[in-house]
Amino acid sequence: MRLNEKALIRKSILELCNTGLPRQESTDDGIRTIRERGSEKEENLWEYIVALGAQLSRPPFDPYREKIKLTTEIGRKGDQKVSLKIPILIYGELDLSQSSKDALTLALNNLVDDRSTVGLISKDEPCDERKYPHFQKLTDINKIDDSEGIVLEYTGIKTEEKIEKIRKEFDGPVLVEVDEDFSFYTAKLLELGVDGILVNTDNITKSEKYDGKHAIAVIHDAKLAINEFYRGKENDGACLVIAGDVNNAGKMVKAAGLGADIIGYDTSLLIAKVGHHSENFFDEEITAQKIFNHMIATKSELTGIPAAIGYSDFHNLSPSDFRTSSIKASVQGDIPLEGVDKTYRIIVEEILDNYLNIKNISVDQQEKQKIINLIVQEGT
Amino acid sequence: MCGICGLMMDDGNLRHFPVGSILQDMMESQQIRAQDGAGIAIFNKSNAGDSFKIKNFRKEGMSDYTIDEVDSSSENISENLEKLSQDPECHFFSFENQMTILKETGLAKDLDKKFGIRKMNGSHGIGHLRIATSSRVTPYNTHPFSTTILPDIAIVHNGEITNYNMLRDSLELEGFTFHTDSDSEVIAVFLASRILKHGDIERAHREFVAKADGPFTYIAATSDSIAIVRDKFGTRKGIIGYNPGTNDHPPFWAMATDLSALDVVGATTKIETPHPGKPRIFYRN
Repeated sequence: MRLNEKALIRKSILELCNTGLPRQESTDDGIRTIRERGSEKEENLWEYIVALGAQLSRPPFDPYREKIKLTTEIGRKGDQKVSLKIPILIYGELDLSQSSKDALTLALNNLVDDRSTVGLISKDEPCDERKYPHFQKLTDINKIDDSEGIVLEYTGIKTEEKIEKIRKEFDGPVLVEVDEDFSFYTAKLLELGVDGILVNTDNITKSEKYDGKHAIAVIHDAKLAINEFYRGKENDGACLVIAGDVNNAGKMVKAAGLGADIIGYDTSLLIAKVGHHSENFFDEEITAQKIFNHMIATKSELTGIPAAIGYSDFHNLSPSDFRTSSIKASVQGDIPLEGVDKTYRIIVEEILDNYLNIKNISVDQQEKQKIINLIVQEGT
Repeated sequence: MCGICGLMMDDGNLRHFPVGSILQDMMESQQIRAQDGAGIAIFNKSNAGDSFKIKNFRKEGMSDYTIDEVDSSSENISENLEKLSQDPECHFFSFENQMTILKETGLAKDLDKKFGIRKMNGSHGIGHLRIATSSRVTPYNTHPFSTTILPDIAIVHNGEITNYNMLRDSLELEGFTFHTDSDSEVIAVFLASRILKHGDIERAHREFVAKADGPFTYIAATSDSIAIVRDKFGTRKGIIGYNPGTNDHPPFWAMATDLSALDVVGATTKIETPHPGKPRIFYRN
């Protein structure tokens, strides 16, 4: 073989090794060779090289080096969705000073420039210079501003009437902040065209209904309420926003695993975390930079766990990725128990099935579920 | 490290081409990759008609089983599927019209010895060699996987669907039934659910790649198509080749995990590797 032919082959192989993909066109079509293994048939050398390249899995595969997708869309309608690059909505009711608000606006705009968009939920009118998506916390139904989305607090049957009215004049995503009775009315809200529910676990775990239960029970039940609406059909994008006691990356990942699509990050907490400053010597740019840095660090932390598990998308986390040593947590969050890798409910069901089988007792599915519920409640 | 393979005749009207024999050669050439189970799905237009076959594993003692076949018509198919799903001694195997699935634990040559794979004819087919990773070595967990949603869908898979639990949960919520613990079954159920929804097989593959996570390559066959699909990062390999035919046999496309499978059946022209995340589909003419 001539030297230039050898060089061409070497170049082709190196290209395949680097990219894992063959070139679309052969540049060495002229080079043909007699294949080994005694075949007398002349074959295209290029195809032989492509075949060898196709035998390589993409070499740099390593979960820690893969990009993890955090992008989330809010909205069930195709053309009015709001896209977040980090699944976070800054949310809270703190009366911030004007300088804090300005620092927040600057930080959020910088995050958009960095392709790390997060959204903001606020009662204030949206800032004119904003680049980030703003969700108006609606207090007066007659004063809908030009925000990208709306957040409405559930206050009973009147909220449903308000939603019907809003839906007539506003096409963007509408989220409803729910109370502890969400399981009764979430389906109705989704039927009226709401795009998701916002659940503040701090408020709800203080209610009588959730007395003694953890935030994981609230998240689990909220996801279940949305799923119930979609039983028998595909979810068209209704989302679950979890706010409250989700103030670090570990808790955010846990919330996502239990079904949260977006995290409501408390504004006051954010300012407190980054704003070690005195209002008298407040430096807007420094605070904005601190907020920006904190969000970028959170973004990085949010990718770590899904990457280690082998996911390329943050939203693929599910309860089966976690383990708990507490029967209570297993029941409340449907999380498998350590060591056995099964939820407490499944273990109870297996034991019951075995017992019914041995005793030759026949019970229908509904009856069986009642027995399981009783045993499970007893266990917690 | 499973081994997968598939082939599609250029002339889809051929009914007597020895697809079984070619698949068997392709599987045996990749046997080094996996030894826990082997299976094939072969499609033949001659079987088309109003009659459907529901195959089930029926338990015989503690570890043995027989394959139980229930012939059904379009009128009683739902009733039969429901009845079989209630039978604790039955474990779903396949739902067939033009398709025939055969699978067993052990080596490819044992599968041929038991079922006579080399004598099977048709227009296209897929094959699998299994090494057990996430579920037990049983005939139920051996590929190809089929569904009770639609007949004539079969998939073989190499790799891992890491977000299997999540996909399965959402499909079950939509009302679709699973019959095994294998992550591979989610591909078949997902494709069937989307074909049922919009009838577009290419769109169904694209939607699966968009939703599925993890390293994988799969080959899926329906009564008139065969597709090889790699995950969006291209972390599992796959290769396609063409045998231009001779006086003895007509031309065909072949695809597999290992190059050896294409070499052994002479599919060594028009070599290509499917681009990550982009389904490469061959339709029966």
